[in-house]
Amino acid sequence: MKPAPFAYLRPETEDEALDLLREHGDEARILAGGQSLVPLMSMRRVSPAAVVDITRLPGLAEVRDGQVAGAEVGGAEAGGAEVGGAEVGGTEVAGTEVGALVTQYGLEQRAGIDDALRECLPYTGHYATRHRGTVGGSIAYGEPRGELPVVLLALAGRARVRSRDAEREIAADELYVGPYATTLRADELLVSTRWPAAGLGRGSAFTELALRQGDFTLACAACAVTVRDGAIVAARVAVGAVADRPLLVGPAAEALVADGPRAAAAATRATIPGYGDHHASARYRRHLAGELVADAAARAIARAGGAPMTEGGADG
Amino acid sequence: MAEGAPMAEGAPMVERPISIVVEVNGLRRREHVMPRLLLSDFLRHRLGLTGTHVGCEHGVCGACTVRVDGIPARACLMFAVQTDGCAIETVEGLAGTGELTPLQRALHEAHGLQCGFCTPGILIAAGDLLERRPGADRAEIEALLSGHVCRCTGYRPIVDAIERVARDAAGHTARGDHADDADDADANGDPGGPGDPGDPGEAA
Repeated sequence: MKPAPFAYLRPETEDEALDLLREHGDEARILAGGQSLVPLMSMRRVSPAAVVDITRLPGLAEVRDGQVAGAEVGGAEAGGAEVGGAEVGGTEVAGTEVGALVTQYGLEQRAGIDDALRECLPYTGHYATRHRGTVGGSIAYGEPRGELPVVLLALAGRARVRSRDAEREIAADELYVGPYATTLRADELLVSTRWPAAGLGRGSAFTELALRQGDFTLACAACAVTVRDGAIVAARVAVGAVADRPLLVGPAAEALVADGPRAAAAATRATIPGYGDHHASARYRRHLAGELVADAAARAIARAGGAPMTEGGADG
Repeated sequence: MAEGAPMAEGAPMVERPISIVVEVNGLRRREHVMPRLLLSDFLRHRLGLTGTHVGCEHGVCGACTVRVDGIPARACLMFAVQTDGCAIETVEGLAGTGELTPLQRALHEAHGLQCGFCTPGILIAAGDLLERRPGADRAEIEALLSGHVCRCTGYRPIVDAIERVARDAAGHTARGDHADDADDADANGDPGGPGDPGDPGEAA
């Protein structure tokens, strides 16, 4: 339970950090809150030659409200019949830009963030780990059971990343490609994440079941919907802990638009693989994910000002 | 760059000791540490502060919880080298004068500990919660304790003790706040321990 030896690199500026990543990115790991990386190193599941500690870089711990690039919530509209296949446009919407080093607890204390984002934060870890664990770290790590990636997917959020030569934005839909695998390159540093906020006619919600609050989730779900004249016109549905990565469920979003939360639950069950471990079987997780999607969908609809569409009611 | 850390260009990727200065419970220390030395091992083996207990060593059990620059941290999830320039508070700093803190006294009186293994982490974490949210309610306290494994008490007496301090701090203004805080735990089921409030002192 002790990490293997490594070289400790602590850049004081972002340029210095990007230089180090260009030089050593392939054999280095970025250390932010360390709440996932350090136990992985202690268990020697990862043994990087170098650790780049970014916690003293200036300017990465800020939260800003404003315009963020994002999409109209439109997973189903975009023909998201295939999982993760929703298209994200480049429109500017109101939202929150969260610096990579903002902690989960710090964001939790902030008023005015999106509902699904606010609801997921208490589940991201225990009291002490949420004080250290960062939002940027959760997004970049790509834990298949992580809460923040699921919400980023549902809200059609984005990650801003920088390398020595360029800066780019990665849409949530393009971020996760496998277990703990993202489209970030080894020389890139995630500098912030962008979270569209609910506006007029739009609502979102997150829900989760874990054995104890803060433990790894058995399954979690986030939904974002757009309602016009009492009817759902667009939706996005994402689930966690039921596949090898955080998953956008296109068929569930389609079913939600067409037939409401119960249909979304059925479509979720039919679409996701689920996986079994010593805590829960794949079959149980599929069922659970469906119910959590129905719950999150109903509450998102209520928040968007829509009428409940099924006997399940809109009150979470 | 951190003092003693290798520079970027062409530097070999090898572990080497790094000089750090920390303030632990008010005392300033300068030490040389290897980067892979966990803060928990630094406190226990280098400084002899064995009040910080090590249970699971991967962030789950909560026994090693300390504060770094006033922010709670699992000492097993930080490298000592990260705390360079920081102030660290451990359980040894709580009753430095020989007088128990209100929380320590409440845990004692409510039978909130038996073997005492989890107690240092709970004292630090609950102390932090009460500092940030002096009138913390029972639901918040139970959520806090989801991050601290106790195998003796069944948790109820620990919750009672922390709640007692919270109520004293709030000057009994928190009357009737039990009814409206139920919605926090909806998707989570009951996060607490056994439902029976029988005598907690008998727990094995």
